[in-house]
Amino acid sequence: MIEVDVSQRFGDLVVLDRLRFSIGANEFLCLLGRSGCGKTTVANLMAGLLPCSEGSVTIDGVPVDPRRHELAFVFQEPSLWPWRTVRNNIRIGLEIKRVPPHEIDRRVSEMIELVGLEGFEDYYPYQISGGMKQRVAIARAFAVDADLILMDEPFAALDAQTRTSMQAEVLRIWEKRKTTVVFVTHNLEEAVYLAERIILLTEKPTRIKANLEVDLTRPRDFADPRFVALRKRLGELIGTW
Amino acid sequence: MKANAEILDVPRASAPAVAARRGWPIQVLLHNLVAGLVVLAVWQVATWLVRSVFFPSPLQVVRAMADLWINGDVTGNSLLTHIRWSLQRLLAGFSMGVVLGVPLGLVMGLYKPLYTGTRAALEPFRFIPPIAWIPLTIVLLSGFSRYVFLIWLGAFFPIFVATLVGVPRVELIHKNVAKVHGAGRWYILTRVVIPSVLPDILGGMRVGMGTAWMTIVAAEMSGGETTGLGRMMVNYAELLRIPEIVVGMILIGVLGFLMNEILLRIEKRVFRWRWEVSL
Repeated sequence: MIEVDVSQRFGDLVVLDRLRFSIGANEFLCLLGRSGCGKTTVANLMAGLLPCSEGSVTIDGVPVDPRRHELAFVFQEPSLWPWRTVRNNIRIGLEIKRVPPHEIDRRVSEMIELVGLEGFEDYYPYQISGGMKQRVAIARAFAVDADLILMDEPFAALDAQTRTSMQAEVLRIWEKRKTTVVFVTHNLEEAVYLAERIILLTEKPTRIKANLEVDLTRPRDFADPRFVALRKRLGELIGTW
Repeated sequence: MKANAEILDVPRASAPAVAARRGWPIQVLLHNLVAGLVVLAVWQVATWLVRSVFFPSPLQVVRAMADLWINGDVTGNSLLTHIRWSLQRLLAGFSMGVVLGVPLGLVMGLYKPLYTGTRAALEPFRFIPPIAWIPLTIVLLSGFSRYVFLIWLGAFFPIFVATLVGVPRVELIHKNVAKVHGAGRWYILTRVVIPSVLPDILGGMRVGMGTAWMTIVAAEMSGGETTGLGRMMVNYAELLRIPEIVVGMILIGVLGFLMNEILLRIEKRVFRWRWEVSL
């Protein structure tokens, strides 16, 4: 169980204003909001990359700490280490947490198969496309047995078609690996398609506008009337800041 | 493979393919041969035009080189001895430049206050050419240590500055990837910072190698030991025997070129992951 209770200020600027929510185990949660609403800040706080000015993020009661907890982050920009091959990029999290070598190899092979990159294990990042790079980043995130995986608009830099296929991929991998995922996005359709629950954020100073459960069966259909209705509802909520 | 449709039109330079591209292709060799012949031709023409007893023709130089190779020079030292000594001094000074330059560059790069605090006091040294140190080293140091010090001066600053400048350029996102997974400072230094800075370091090393090599020649010319290519050239200058001087020049140029090539090869090997080609 992950509890978030934070306020965040940078100098005089109040970015987050008493944001409180909790996340259940293995839940797929979307943080939805306009660009600049501080959702990346929330993600960074939850990952322990940013210190909280006020409040805390706890995992099972313990303040989140990258050294103690198993965390992972899929960034929006390409984050692969260019001097390492695909295979060696995927093993980063396992390497840091000192997983035994044969276990690392096993998990890396598993992830490569899961994201569909067989044959590209020894390629360098400069040789693969943007979509493939993000798949490696996702493989890297899911390779560890994460307590929490954060994804900050991971598909924003990809073209529309790649984006759609990646959305399905992420769900498939999540269903296989069963981890808690917090997915940050500004894209309404993406949120409705992916999330079990959506937290809608206001603009700065950011508060929670809505906390909705998405009760649609999977696989979800963008054209389904219930999908469209929910999307409309979100649109209305966002429109009325 | 499912991912086929996504591959951009990039050369599939996987590890095995890169290894196969070893050695110089025939075309490049031929072109260089032609260029070399042109240089020789220009030289020969210049000889005819200048018509001075002090301007050696290519043939004279070749004869002098053969003579030096077989019989050694006026002091009785063989060509190989001179080459060996110059290279030894170079390697000693250069490795000291690396050993001191890289760690110092890393430390100063990582701890900004240390750099800004010492800059005004230490940076001016960078602008004193090694050659300007020669008079001082003549009176303070002798023999091997004098050469090593001067060469170290030539090598140290390019390497130090290249490392220093490379450190802040390490991408934050790469460091964040490590941080999120719980990496400590040492892991980030060795597995993120150093691999990121390595291209800059090697670039600095190539520049440092160049200045170090130029310094050794000037240093040897200034006196001290009896061996070394620079020393040999000065000996023949005193005797006004020009062809031998040119032999020395050619050897210095060729050796410097070869060392640069070696470093380039190393660079290409180590940086297979880079898109750009190093020059």
